[in-house]
Amino acid sequence: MKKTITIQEGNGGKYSQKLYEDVFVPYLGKQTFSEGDAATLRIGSDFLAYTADSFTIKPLFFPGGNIGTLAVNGIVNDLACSGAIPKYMTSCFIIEEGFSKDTLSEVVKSLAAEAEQCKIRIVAGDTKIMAARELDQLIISGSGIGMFHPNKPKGIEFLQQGDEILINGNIGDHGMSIFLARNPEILSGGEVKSDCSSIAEIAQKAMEISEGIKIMRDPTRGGLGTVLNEFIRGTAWGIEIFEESIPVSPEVRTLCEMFGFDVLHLANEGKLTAIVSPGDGQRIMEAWNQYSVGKNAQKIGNVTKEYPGKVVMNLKSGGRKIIDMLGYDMLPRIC
Amino acid sequence: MKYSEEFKNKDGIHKLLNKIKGAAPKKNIKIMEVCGGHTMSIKRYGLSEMLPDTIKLISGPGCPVCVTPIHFVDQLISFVENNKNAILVTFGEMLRIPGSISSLGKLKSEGADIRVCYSPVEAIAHAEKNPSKDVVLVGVGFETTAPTIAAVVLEGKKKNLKNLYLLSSLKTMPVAMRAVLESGDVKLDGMICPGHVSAITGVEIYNFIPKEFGLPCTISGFEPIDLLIAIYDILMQIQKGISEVNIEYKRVVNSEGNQKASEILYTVFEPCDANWRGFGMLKQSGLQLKNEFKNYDASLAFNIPEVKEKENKGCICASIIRGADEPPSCKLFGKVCTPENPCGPCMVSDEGTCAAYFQYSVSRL
Repeated sequence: MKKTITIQEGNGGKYSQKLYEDVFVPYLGKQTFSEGDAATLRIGSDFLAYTADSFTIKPLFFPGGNIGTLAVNGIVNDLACSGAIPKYMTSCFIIEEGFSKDTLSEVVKSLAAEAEQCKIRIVAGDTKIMAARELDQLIISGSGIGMFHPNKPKGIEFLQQGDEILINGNIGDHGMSIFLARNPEILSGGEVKSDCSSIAEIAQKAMEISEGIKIMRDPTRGGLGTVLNEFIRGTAWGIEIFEESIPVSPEVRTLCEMFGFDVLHLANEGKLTAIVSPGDGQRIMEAWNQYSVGKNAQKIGNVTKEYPGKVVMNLKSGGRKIIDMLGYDMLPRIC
Repeated sequence: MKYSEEFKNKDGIHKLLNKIKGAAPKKNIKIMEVCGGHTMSIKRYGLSEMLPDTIKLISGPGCPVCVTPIHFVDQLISFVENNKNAILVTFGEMLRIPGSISSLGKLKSEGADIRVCYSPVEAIAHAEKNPSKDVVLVGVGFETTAPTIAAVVLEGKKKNLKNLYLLSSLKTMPVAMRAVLESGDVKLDGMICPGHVSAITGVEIYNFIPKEFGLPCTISGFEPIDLLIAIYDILMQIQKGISEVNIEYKRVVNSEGNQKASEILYTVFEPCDANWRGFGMLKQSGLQLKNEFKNYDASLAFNIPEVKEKENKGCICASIIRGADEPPSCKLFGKVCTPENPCGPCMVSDEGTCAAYFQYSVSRL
């Protein structure tokens, strides 16, 4: 049978993983498409973080952001999670012939404003135009460079029993926001705001406070459930999380119930999940609470030997269930 | 959310579990949750592992995707391949069921015009927006979904849409429940009856179960407390030596059902024999368009060549649907057959026994 690319290979879950392994890893090596968000470049005695990302979202404007703010935050957050202070980025625009110039201006304007707010400088860029219907409106692609913090995450190999797992606030807002923006007839008049924002400041704060950060990641496509699985997949460690400590807004919780979505698989664009040494969590969360993106920070679980290679959630009901990576979903092109 | 959070309350769950533990029989008993939605809730809330060891829950035939015969999947695929000017409108899960040689998902990835809908009503908008194309709605489901699909047909008629069709494998629940009981594949001590099917049909359709088979029945909602109350109710019936049909899900189900919905359903559809995966042909267990609506029947209006059926030999979905087997007894389960690469329908649907077992069950740890 002829093998073709399917839409779920872009959802950030298991299928994306398989696409990397089948097609990219054989030629480019494991590191290029590893789940880690940025590469480490050595120039003389200095180490730089370097990342690349591309952005395609429908609709281009959504409650809480647009493709421009998404591009900046996407690159900034990748650098921040790798333990770097974001410094420079590039942005390339691939545009469909016939696309509104005013809309493009609006996107570029908000991209510039967001970059300024995130203290990252846009230092190079490019534009390409494709004929009408050869592309759907607009794609932005970019890359970013940052300087590593001395307390950058140590890595998965330093996990230990009782390490604490933190998240900076309510999950699922971006995924739900896009779903509703795309299906306005489902919930007329209601909207959920995307969490699209930078987590660079709180990532830096965590590194200032603790020398015991093992890993940080922004759970975008595939959601928190997928990222937690990526942390411990194939290791001797497991993760135990607690349903009642996972922050979710009442609106998103109710909507998930209505549509049958698992909030752990909904995308985020302004979330940071970190695994830190036992005892460091409280101090980090107190510091995060001072920032608007960290107001609702929670400790959601622990690293444990009990479930090697698996993520298990202790349920409010008293039972337990396995949390898997996102498999199939019906919501492509969200970031 | 009202009527939802209070049925997930931890204290309530613990109280009920204690009551169930107190009332649990010494000998092993088997209770079938007929509906796929119940299977999913049981796994999602970790209920089966919290119950006493003597109470075993068996999944039944109430997952619409799972009981869809491979013949119907092939028919959909054949339709898409042979009618390039058509738009197929379907629930998302149908995309992933493997047919004999392909799947709708595969055809979609190759460019076929297949639109995933959240509600069948979306088919109307597709038909209105695309007057030069034929829009075919896929009908799968039970009494719960059938009234909405009937309403789409009625709306299409009212709007005089000439490009709207239905390709249907709709089914009704009671005959399959009888088939489970008559097959003797599994000896049951009680049945948790479907919640949303009952909201449409009322309770009468289950009366034969206590009457002819002497089994206690309870119609349950989908939250953990609903299901635990239903299980407790069945235990009480067993203890008292009675068998009747009780309603736990009173906030949604009444004994007469939703007569308006039933009326719409039977304005458009009439009972017919239907092919079920797991059971084969069951008399008067399906729904077909009545004569006056036959012009909406895609199977008559379009060229849909037959495909030679080829089931995956190792797949035991058929006996899982009947409650005769459980997922771990399947050689393919979790190895060859996973939610990413399903060999049979029970691994496809969120409500499928294998998918629920694979995704959530801590017994896999």
